[in-house]
Amino acid sequence: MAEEKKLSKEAALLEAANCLKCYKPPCQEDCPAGIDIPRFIYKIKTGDFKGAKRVLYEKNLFAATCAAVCPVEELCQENCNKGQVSRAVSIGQLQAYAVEMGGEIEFPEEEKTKNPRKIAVIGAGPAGMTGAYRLARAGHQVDVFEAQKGPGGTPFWGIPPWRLSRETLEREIKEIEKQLHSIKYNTRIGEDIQVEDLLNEYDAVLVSCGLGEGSALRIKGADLEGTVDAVTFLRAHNTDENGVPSPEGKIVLIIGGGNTAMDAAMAAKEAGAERSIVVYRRSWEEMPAWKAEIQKAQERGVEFMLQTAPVEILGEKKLEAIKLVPTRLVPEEGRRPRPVPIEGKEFDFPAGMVITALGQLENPLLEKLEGREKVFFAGDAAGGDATVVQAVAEGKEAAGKIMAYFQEAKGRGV
Amino acid sequence: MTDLSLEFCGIKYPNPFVLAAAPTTDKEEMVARAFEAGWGGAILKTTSVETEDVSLVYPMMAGLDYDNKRLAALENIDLISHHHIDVVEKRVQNLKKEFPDRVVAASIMGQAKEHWQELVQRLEAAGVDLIECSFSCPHGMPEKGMGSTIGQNPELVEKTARWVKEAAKRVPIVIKLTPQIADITVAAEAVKKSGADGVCAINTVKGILGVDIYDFVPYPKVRDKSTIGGVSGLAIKPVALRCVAEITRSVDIPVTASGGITTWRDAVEFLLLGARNLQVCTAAMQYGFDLVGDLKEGLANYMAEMNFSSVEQIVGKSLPKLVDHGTLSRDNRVVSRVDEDRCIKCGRCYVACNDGGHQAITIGEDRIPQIDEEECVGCAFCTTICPVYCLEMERVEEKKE
Repeated sequence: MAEEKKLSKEAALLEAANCLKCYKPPCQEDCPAGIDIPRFIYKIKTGDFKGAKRVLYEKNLFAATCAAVCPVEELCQENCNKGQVSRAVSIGQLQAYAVEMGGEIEFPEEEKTKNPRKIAVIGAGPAGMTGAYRLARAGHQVDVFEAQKGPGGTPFWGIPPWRLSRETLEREIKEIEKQLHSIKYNTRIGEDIQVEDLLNEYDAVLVSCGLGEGSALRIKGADLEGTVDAVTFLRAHNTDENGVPSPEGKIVLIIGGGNTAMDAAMAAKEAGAERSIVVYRRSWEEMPAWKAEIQKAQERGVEFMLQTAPVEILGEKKLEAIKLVPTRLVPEEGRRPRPVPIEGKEFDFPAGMVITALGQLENPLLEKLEGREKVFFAGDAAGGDATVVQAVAEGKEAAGKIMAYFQEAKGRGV
Repeated sequence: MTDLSLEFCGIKYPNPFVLAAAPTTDKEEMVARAFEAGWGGAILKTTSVETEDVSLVYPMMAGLDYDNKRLAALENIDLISHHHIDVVEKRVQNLKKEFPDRVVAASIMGQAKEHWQELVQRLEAAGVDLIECSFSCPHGMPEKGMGSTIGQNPELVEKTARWVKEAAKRVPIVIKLTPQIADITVAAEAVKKSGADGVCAINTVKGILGVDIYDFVPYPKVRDKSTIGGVSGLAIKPVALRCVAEITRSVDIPVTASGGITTWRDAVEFLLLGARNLQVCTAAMQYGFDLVGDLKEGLANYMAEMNFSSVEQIVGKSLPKLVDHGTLSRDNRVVSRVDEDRCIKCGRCYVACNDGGHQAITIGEDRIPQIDEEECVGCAFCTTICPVYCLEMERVEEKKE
C-alpha cells in the first residue's frame, strides 16, 4: 500500500535517484499493468514530471487511483533489486508524486479502425472502463452500462474515501468517459435490459460487473438485527447510503481475515465504534490480508482476536453478544492449516454489531453470460485478484481480445 | 597518535592538511577555530596592497548536482579578499602568537613589482611562515592583467616569481599555478628557474557551472547576467591529480596539492602522486573544519594498515607506476568476471556492454550476467557501472591466435 505521506519535491528527486534503472526490471514484470517503472522514475529524477505522468497513464488509466491503493509491497516493490542493497525504491510514493505534479497530459491520436463495431461494457469499474477506453480509442462505438448510480465500481464504494479521494477517482473516470459513445447508470443487465437483447444489439460484450453480494455467516442467530456483511457495510459507509446501522459507540466484531475485513474494521473505527475487533479463525501467518493493511489497521486502533471462530450470535431481536470459541490449528498437506474448535472453551463476548467479511458471492449475471459467443470477461467478474491494477490489466487484455476477435471474424467474412 | 608530520619547503607541518586560500581563511576567528579543530596550516585568503580595488559581486557561487545530490563541483566568481595587507599582517601576527606550532601562510596577488615586493616584506615582518602567490585565479583578476594571465605565460611566471623571491629574506615562496595552460610543467619549470621554493597545483578550473534553462542566464546569476568562473570540488580531482603528477615527475620542485581533496582517500592519492602538502577548500566549506579530524584519522589508519611509519614514505610512491601510453603492456589480456553471490541481477552491466562496449554480456533466465570471454575485450566499462561492485577484471592466459 502506498504510504499516505506525500513526498516533497526534494524527497522525490532524491528517492528517484535511488532507482538503478534495471534491465528487464522486476518492478515492471511484477506490475500487472506493465508500467515502465524505471522510465517514469528516471523522468522524475530529471525533473520531467509531465513525461513521468505520461509513462504512467500510457499503461494505466487509473494511475492516480493505483498510487493511492496499490499494494506496492506485494507487487512492484517486492522484488526491487535495490532492496538487496539497502531498501526497495518507494515506487508507490513516486507514482503519487508524478500523477500530482505532471499536470495535463495528452496522448497522440491512435489510428482508428476502418470497421467500427458496437461494444457493450457491463460495469463502470476499472476493468470495464479501461477496456472501454481502449476500444473507443481504436474507433469502436462503446456503450457502458452500470447498475449503480455512478461510475467507479469497487474502488468507489469499497474503498474508504480517506484512502482514495473521490476526486482522484472521478477525475480519471471523467477522462475515460469523454471517449465513450454513452454511459448509462442505474441500469441492470438482466433486469432493465435483457441479456438476449444486449447480445443481439452488440458485436461484443465485455462483462466487468464485479462480484455479487457478500457471503453470509451460516451460524445460528446470523439473521438478528445488527449483523451486516462487509460489502453492504462498506458501500453504505463509503457512499453515505442509508439502511445500515451505525457502528458509533458500539463494540464491533469483524469476522474474517482478508483485506475487506481490514477495510471494514478501519471503517467501523472511523465511524466511531468503541472497539473494532477482527475475529479470525487462524493465526497471523495464514491471514490473507496484506501485511501493510494489517499494520495500518493496527495503527488505527483495530484489535485482533486470532484463532477464534464464531459459534452463535446471541440476542432476542437485536444481537447482544456473540458466542466464540478458540481454535487449534491442524496441519494439512499442501494447504493452510485447518482451524478446529476447542470444545468446552466457548465463551460469550459482548457485541453491538457484527460485520461478516467472508468473501463475495459470484455475480448472478455471470451464469447467463458464461460460454456465450462474443462475450468477454475482465476484473473481479473474471475471477481476478481484486486489485485495481489487476482489473486495469484485465480490462486492457480483454479489449485486445475483443479486437482480435473482430479481426478473426473479418477473416472469416462475418 | 601516529606522527602525520610532513616537511614542505623546509617547514615541518604537524600534519599535511592545510586550509587553502579561500573564504574559510578570510577571518581571523575562522582560522583560529580551524587550528583548534586540528588543521596543520592555513593560507589566509589572497590579499593585496591597500590601493587595490576589490569589487565583489553577489551571489558568487553555484553548485553542480549529480544524481540529485549536492556539490559534485562548486563554481565561484569570488575575487581576492577585500581585506588588504594592513588587516592581514595583523592577523598573521595574532595567529602566529596564538598558534605557534601551526603554519600560518598568506596568499598574495599584485600588479606591479612594487606591490608584490611590498606584500612580501610586510608579511615577513608580521611573522608569516610561507607566502603563496596567486598566478592562477581564472576569473575577474585576469581582466586586470592579474591571476591566471601570469600563470598562462611562462615568461611572466618566471619574471614575477623572481620579483617575489628577491623580496623574501626568510620565508619560502610558493607559486599557485593554473591548469588553464597547455603544459603545466612549463609553468612549474619557470617557477623553478625563478628560484622560488615550491608550486601549488592547481587553482580552479575555468568553467560555466550551468545555465538556467528557463531564463537563459548561466550560473551563478548576478541579476540577469553571469560570467565565466572557477570550478573546484570533487569533480576537478582528476585534473588536479594529473597536474600534480606531471609536475612531480618532471620538475624538481615541491608541490602542495589543491583540487577536489574531499576524503582521506583523496589525500592519500595526492601524496602517492608526489604532493607533499594537501590543501582543502570546497570540502571544508561544505562539511566544516571538523573534517580534518576524519582526514587525519583516515590517513593514520591507512598508514597502520599499509605499514607506513611516516607520511614521507607515501609521497611519490605511485610515480613509477605512471608511464607513457606507449610503454604500457600490450599483452595484458583481461576479461570481466562476475561475483555471482554479490550480483543483485539488475542487468546494468548488460546494457553497458551492449550499448557501450562489445556485446560480451548476456543475461539468462536467472538474470545473472554471463561473460562471453571471446567477445570481452577487457575494456572494464562494466566494472565502472555495477552498483554493487561485483564485476572485476581478471588476467587470463593470452588468447591463442
